[in-house]
Amino acid sequence: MEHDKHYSHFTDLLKDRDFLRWQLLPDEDLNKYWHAFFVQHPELEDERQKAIDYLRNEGLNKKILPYNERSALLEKIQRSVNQKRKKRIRTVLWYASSAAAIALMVIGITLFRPDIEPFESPNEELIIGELLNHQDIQFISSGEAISFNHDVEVTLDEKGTVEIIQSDSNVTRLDVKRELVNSLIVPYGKRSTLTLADGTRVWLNSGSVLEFPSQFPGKSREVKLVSGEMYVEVAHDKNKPFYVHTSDFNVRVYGTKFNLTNYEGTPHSVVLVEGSVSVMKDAAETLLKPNEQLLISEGNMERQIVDVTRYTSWKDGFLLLDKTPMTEVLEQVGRYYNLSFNYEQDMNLKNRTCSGKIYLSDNLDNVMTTIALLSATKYEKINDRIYIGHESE
Amino acid sequence: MELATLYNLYVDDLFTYGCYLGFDGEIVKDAIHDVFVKLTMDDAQIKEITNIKFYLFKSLKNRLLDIYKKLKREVVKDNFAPFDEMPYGEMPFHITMNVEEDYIEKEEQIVIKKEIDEMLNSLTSRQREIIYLRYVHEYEYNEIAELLHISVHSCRKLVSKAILSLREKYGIAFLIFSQTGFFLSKL
Repeated sequence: MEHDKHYSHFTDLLKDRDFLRWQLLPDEDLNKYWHAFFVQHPELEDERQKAIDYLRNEGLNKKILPYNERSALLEKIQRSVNQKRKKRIRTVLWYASSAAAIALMVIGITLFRPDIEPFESPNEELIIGELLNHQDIQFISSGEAISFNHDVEVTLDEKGTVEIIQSDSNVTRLDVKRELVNSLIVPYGKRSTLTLADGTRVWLNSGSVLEFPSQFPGKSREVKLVSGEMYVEVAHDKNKPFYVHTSDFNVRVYGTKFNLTNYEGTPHSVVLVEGSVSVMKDAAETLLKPNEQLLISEGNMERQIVDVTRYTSWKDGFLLLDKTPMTEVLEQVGRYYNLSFNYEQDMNLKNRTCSGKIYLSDNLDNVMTTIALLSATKYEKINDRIYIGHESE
Repeated sequence: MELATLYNLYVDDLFTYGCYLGFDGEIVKDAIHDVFVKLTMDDAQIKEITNIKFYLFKSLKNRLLDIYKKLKREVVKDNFAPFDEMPYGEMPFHITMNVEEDYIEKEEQIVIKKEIDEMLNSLTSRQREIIYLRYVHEYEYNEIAELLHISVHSCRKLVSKAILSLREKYGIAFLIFSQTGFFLSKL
């Protein structure tokens, strides 16, 4: 081993056996040596952290599941869960109907066929929505999660201080490490806003997970929208491009306003309000102009001109609808209030559309009344369930 | 937490772990499917789980063991041959360093990969698995012991053995180097 080791880059550390040994299997000698070493070389602090991050993430825990297989597997899991749930209900129905069947057989009629779904005339069609349990917003930093049961406003500053204000005015302050990546998990039924260390403003819609660093010391600013929807106003910085990564595409911007949707099961999209962004997927790069939307589905990118308010109004607390299919409206409302809607494939109600403006107030009844009015349906709320049906003649 | 959120948070870690355990990607995916379906269907259980990531790792490993046993009864495939004589719970663990990023030079990539892979390959499968669970996922000894179906004591013993064997392999040069380093710095 040579004495005159020179380290200037994190890869120099990764090539060093003793550094690797200290990381993977530290003993007393190694601890002593490397602690002393980094005290003497404070300029290597960033490189040390980079080397460790690299080993822990890309190096020894590389993400190897291809994106299309990743989403296909989730769909398969969701299908299995739904089937099992249905089967559970069917078993209950089966017991009830067997009892009836026995009664019928006694008088000599054998019409019992358990697998046939009960026939429903169109007028009896119902969409059933179920209010799900409330979940907390979570802020995760250094592996520790802090929960909040109200919507939050998170602000990071350059000193590494995070201020979290809940909508009931409760304030939490904490210090985060400079180089750390944090996550904000916003469950269905909740929303959050976030100001990053560089002044960039982010609105997170219900059902979103965002990963972001405490600071942006490098040549670029990078965040990751793991799932969900975000609206971003990027602070201008010519020298540090801002990237939003998702599992299937990346967006590069310098200073601009745009909306990004990355929900499972719906087409992913980028809508540009102001400035310019470029969207990169695999090897292809597409430049967007204001008022353009890029729809991204598997292996396919489609550009169109849209009314941007329709895609960004959620951050201001309302939905703008223009012949929007009922299913899409219920999906958005469901995410916003954490409701799960159930509808059969061949239902007529599904084909209805809505046009108009819905205020997403705290009062779900007001919202449902508006939807019923806009789609010419009627609704009833009993306990935690919502029933939507055809308007009676 | 919602199924999709949980899935998105942990599926990559689970898939990588399953592949390191020597299973084919398709089998790992099936196992992950079963783990999530079981978790979602069991509403009562989900409320009692405090460490969801650990729960998922443990269910995945147990599921893979079951799948393996079933497969072995059907066909003894080539890639499962090393399993044959092994007691319950002991599986191969093939971890390799990935260095394919554009921002690292080709030559450096080769050196880094060689150093780490050589170091890890000089250890046993169990030692590699413990290092991976401790270093990458920061699990505690008692959790690792549960995943490996061994006692906490033997888990710690495996680690000190690994430290010793690496010290024997690389440590002497380091000792001389570090001592002279300290000596020189005092001058």
